[in-house]
Amino acid sequence: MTLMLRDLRARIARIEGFSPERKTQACPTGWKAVDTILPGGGLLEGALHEIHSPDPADGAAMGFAARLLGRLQARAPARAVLWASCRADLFAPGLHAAGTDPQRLLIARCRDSEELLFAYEEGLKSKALAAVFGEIGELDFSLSRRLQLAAADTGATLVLLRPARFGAEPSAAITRWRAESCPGGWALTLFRCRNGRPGHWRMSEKLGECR
Amino acid sequence: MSVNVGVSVGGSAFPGLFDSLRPARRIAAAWLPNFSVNLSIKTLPKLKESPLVMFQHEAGRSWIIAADPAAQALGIGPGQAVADARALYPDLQTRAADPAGDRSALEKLADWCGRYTPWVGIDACVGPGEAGLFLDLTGCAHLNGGEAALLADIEHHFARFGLDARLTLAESPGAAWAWSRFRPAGATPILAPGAAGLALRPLPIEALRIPAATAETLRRLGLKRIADLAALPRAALAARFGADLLRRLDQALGRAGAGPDNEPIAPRRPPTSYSVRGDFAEPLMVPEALGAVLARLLPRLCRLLERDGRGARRLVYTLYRIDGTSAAAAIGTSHAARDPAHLAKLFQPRLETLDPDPGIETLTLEAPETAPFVSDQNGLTHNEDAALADRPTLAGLVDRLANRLGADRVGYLAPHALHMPERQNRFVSALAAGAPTDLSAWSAWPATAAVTLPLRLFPVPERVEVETPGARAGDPPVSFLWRGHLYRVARARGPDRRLGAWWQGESAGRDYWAIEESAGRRLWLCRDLATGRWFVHGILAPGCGACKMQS
Repeated sequence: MTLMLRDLRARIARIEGFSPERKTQACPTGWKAVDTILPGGGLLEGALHEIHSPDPADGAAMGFAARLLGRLQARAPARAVLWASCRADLFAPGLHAAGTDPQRLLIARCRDSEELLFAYEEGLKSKALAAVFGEIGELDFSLSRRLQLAAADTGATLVLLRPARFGAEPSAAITRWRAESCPGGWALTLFRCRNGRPGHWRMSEKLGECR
Repeated sequence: MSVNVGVSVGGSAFPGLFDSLRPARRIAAAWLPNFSVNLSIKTLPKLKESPLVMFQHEAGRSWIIAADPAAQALGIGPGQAVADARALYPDLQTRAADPAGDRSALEKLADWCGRYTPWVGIDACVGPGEAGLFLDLTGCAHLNGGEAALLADIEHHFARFGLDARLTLAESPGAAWAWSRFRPAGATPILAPGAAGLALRPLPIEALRIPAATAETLRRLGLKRIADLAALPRAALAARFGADLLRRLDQALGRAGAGPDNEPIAPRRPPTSYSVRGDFAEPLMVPEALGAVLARLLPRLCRLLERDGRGARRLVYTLYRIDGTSAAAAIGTSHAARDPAHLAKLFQPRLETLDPDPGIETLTLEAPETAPFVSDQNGLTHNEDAALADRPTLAGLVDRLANRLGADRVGYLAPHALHMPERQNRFVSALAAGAPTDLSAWSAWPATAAVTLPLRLFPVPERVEVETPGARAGDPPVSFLWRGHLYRVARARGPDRRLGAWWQGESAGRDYWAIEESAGRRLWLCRDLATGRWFVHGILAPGCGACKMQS
């Protein structure tokens, strides 16, 4: 009976995009209030995560992504991170000042979402990367599941920045976040979290302070 | 729109009907209008000092066949007798023309062009003293940083050889030829696929590569432009002027079907010792065969490379069809590679672009560019290829991405010691010559003091409309319009003055301000010191260390 249950659980996890054979690890965000809410104590590695931004002129989502990028880089010092996007506006001195290492950032400038998906999949499959970061608009559920499975297979983390208007559409992402500037700071919302509960935090000016 | 059905002249009965199914050809025409005089000046530089003409003996007199731009400016040109021109301009320099020497120089130049593509043809429709080449660049541009960069590179090298050249790129030799000679001033040298039909219409009929006598007859009939001809019924044109004119018209407007009328450019191979081929008694018809043959050829080529301790940087897989046409797929690698499995994977997406129809009789695989093969530090000597195939290498990923997206689209950001932000992070292609694929060799970023810097930087600062200016001169505006929205500045930090290296083409200087607007968004504003205008140059992230505000 227990065997059957375990088998069933594994199958469901597989369908949901988990790879139960691989031991999963989590990368802490470094914000205690956030990490305590996340299952595993941080951002699950080998999984798809989405960060939504309400407005292209709002840098909060990018700031959150840069923080995760720095943390993921610190956990795998010998590996590169791929940044695949249709935009060509990353500013390396700024990323550097924000605690990331632009030296270990491979950049792919794509033209359309077909090329983006190709780059994400190749990046995840290559086993040479610690993480893949990307920016994409439309992403239908089956494609997101495919990316989630590819990430789960190799253990590389995929973080996608997306416009907030896609927040209502289904996605296989393990966590979905929204980051938004507000006067004097910014707000971070975890609006979907597989095996966890949502959360909302007000971040103040100083790094790491939550209210 | 017209569909040309009913008249069958020369080749296909339906010219143009199936063209959209085939990947567009990209043919460059290089017109060298002063080839003879350029060559003379190259061998004897002092000829540059005064006007120069080339002459030939005929009927007991010396006739000018080519004149350099200085002589042309004096009104001296082909067809004049040397004696007459000398009488008017005593300091005119003359050199005997050497058609055989010019021809062999042109052949050498064509061979040299093999660095861009093996398909280089010599243009037969040139006047005396001129020369021309065709280069089939289909599928080559992505390895050379795009079409514009590729043309610029060819032009640059020709200029270095001392050759005046006009280069154009179009979908057929006919269109490229016409565009190189008759392109209106200021028009782009590159005609996008499908653009030739429209762009060539206003050009004179001489752009069609027709004999002078035909051109004159047409002109007398009032048919002066290509558009005039294109508007006429095809059957009538063919009946009155022969199939030749129609063929030239179709070739220029990109309506020629497959076959010899389409002017395939014969490959011109520079000798390479790394080449293997497969010949087939029965023509190969199915696209799947391309992958199967490649899988047999790759190990053979890799063994040749291994014998010499080398690896391939560029591979070209060429198919020769039974109708005399050919097509090729090329890949580039970021490091010397000779692992058949890895190379096969790189070729995979390219194979779809190869159309076997109507049948392949020969397939070749060549490595025109090779480099010494360096086995990695782990001291793998034998079987290193097998080991590499399984190893997670960044170089392998770079290759796959660059072959799909283009070499100019995969790279990293390198620091630059200039002060203007847009020049501080230079995008460097990972496949660029000398670009390392080893992480530790990438340009290390210097440590920066914790200053306020954006995470996103616009390539060009975006102008804002100041609604309410700041209290003092030089202060950021109280409110401004940007991208159609009104922003009110709540807090500001600055200025961070950047003085540009104006002697290197940078702007004189800017004051940068980090501002927080009323809704909390943070932008990187700058004021141009020369004009006092305000711009948004980047987007700052709140709370990520790089952006700390003071009240």
